[in-house]
Amino acid sequence: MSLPGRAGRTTWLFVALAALAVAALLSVALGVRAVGWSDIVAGLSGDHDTVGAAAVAKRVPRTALAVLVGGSLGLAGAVMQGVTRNPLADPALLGVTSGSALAVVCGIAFFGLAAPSSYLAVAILGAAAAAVLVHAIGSLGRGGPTTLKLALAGAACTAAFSSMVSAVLLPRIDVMNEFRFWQIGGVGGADWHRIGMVAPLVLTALVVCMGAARGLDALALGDDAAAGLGVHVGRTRLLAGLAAIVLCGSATAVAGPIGFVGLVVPHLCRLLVGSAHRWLLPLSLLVGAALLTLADVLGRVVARPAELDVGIVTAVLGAPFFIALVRRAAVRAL
Amino acid sequence: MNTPGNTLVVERASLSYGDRPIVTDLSLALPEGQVTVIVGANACGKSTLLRALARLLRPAGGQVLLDGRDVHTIPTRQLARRLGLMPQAPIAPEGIVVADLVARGRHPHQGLFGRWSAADDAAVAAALEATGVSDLADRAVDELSGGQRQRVWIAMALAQETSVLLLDEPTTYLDLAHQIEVLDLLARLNAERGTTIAMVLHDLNLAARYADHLVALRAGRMVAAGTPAEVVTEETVEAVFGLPCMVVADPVTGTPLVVPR
Repeated sequence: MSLPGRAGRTTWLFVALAALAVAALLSVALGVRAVGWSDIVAGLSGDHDTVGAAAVAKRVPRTALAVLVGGSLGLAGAVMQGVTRNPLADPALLGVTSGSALAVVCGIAFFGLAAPSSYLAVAILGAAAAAVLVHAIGSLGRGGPTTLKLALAGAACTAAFSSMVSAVLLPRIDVMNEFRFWQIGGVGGADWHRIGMVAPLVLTALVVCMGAARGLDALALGDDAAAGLGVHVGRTRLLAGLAAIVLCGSATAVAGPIGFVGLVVPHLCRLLVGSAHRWLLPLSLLVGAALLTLADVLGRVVARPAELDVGIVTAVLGAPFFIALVRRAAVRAL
Repeated sequence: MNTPGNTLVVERASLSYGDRPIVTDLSLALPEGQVTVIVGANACGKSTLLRALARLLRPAGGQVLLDGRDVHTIPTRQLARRLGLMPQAPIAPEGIVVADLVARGRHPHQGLFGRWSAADDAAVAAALEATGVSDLADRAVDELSGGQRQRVWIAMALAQETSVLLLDEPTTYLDLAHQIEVLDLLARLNAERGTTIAMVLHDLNLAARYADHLVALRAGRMVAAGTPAEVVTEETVEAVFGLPCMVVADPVTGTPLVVPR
């Protein structure tokens, strides 16, 4: 199998960009309420006179949030896989997402956090703490942090954190409704204020990740080979890992824990453009954004007149992929 | 290619992992433009010594100098343009093709967001050519045989265009024919490009055959260093490996050949 050259890779970037545009358009056009073209045009141009146009206008921030969250998770997954050299690395599988959600829920329930900007800080701290904890557990025993040990530690921590989120939320019917998305993950409650809050962080993390792309390429050859190529192994890993944690924490702060995007997207992208990170990272960002936006649209359409949270849709889509991947990794490890 | 004074020198180095001392008070110089081979029994510290030469391990005492300058004071990217390394177990990313893997050797020559240049292209093409893997350029590394894969890794190190090349057991896991193929390739690179080569080898007879300069270690100390004829004697082999033997002349090359008693 031979990979496409530079031209082919650029083409895939444009295809992903077009897919994202289509997904965003669908996200604005489709929903619980069926609207016509005139309503869409009216809603997008800021005119809220008809019910349909008002519905469309409400879908715009939701779409923007889905794009931002999906892109962050796709990119965070690609970077985490590079940093850990672990094909099963994914913010949700490694417990980072649920740790971040738990930190925010505890903050709201026990410390009276109210301002969304404080969620953000707590979410990122929670993500970092969970990453350190899972890595420490996965490093126990012989052979250090192997692929499967990390995945197991992540799964165990995810289960524990998610139960704790439920334990904190369930007795509080009052907050339950407002913060239900912390349990499942959803972009329904989007508003421009929250988007404006996370966007600068996500952009900064994106720049850091792109700067680390060549270093990640070298890290893929093993730590010794990377050092021999003149890479600061520890520094590169720390910087890229922090950026991934910021991406994942930001996404979780505004949308709750959403799984599988960070796992599926980079693997799909690697099939298209290969393992060089200067192609893989931007493509993962675009495909992640398109995938999450489409998953959100799907969740709105399949359960009419109710909605399925996007976290459920990505889990249903991603689980079979995960099983296939684990089977292959297990076969390789034996 | 070769600039004078381009040698790597170890000055009274003590190397350890944590509290465990591996190599004590060892001094050594790699003769410029020659092939140096480090030999010794298992766990004698020969790979540790190579890691120190490649600045992967910081000496607990003493220092490693390139052109008289401590390698740990040279910016790592700048050092990577002078000193190439082929580690014992490098990892090929799944599905990567030969040309892309070799291209990663250009890392120290590129800036943070720098563009791929014509010089990069030329270096990769030359490395593929020199190692005889040009025909495999579009093949996935996963599909290659052990010997081919080893040549591809050497090509990556060559694309780095360094005047010194360090290799940690480049013949491990290869059958004898492929071992010879890899060592012949390294000998040719040394002869044609003047690259200073230092490597760890397991097989004493192959080491004697391909080394200009042989270094024998035992329990973290240097027992002997010099030409193969000086180092490979019955006494030294017994001291280093604890193996009673006879040393005869290799009927093909005339280099010393160890025959266990």
